[in-house]
Amino acid sequence: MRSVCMVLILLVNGAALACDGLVVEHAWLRQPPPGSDVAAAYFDARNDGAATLTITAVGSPDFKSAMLHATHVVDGRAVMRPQGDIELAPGAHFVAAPGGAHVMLFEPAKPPTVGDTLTLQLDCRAGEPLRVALPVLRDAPRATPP
Amino acid sequence: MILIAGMAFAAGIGLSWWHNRDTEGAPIDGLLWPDPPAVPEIALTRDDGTPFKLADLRGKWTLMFFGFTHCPDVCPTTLDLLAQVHTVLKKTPPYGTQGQVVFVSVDPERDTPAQLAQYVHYFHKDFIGVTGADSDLKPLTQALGVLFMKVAQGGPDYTVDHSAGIFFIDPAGRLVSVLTPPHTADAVIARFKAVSAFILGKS
Repeated sequence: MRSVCMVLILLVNGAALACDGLVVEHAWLRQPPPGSDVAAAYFDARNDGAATLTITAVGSPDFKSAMLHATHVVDGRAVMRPQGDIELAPGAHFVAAPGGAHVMLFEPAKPPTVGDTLTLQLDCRAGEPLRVALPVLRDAPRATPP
Repeated sequence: MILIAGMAFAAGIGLSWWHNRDTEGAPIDGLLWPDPPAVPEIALTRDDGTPFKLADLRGKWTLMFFGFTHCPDVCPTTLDLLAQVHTVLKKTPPYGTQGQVVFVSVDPERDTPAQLAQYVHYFHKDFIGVTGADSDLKPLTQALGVLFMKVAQGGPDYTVDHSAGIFFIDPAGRLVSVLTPPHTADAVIARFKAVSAFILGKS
């Protein structure tokens, strides 16, 4: 029950603070379609601190491994490549959203299912890693309606 | 990042883009006219294991997308969007109940027909998954100017760079338009209506 409350608090607040001023909101994981063993997670990050911070890694204890990727469209072709460190000046934002940057997660401990709340972890060059609630959704919460 | 295999390349000729005007004089972006590339005879495999041929594209409108099931971002995002588009367009002609969304896997090494079936039907029960050996995919991808190539990610894993466009195939089996990303459902529906009205006016 306590963990459920914590999750609700995180979801209601929609933010958690660590990593020397890093704020991460709207984190979610797309439920992988059947037959797919990779998942993608998205989030909005913002530096509310007074100094520049650097996100050096992203991951999740619910998966064996993870990489931050960016999808680029080059000549109409979707090209997915690892994204390097993310440097955020004070007040700067970084958005991982469908069709762009995303956390690619491999080998879940169990198949992520809509309704589950997993954990997303961001490591910074300085400060403690930031862990935020990662709800599993069917599709983007702010998708364009039909 | 090492390029381990170039699997297919567009035909040497690029697709030419013309700006055309529909019957009311409004411009239609991305309409391939007056020389839409024709889909040649193809010998692919449908997600139920049966053949998928040029005949399966004739007499109906097709929205085609290329990708692979291990694609975590662009493919699910686009297929979710195409499910919205298909649901709207199937209500009325000319797309109607005959209209189809075809997802072509360019990763036959990992995507078996059975795997494709459960993958595409997760997005919409009407969706059709097709794939085939590289040599069987080539006639289709060359005719449509679809690019894809396998790229190593370290270890045995690999990703596949692929065209992220949505390809409109008309009932005569011709590629009449390509939508380039980023996609929105509204834009795909609007483009379909404009392009299909133009093509119907020509036939």
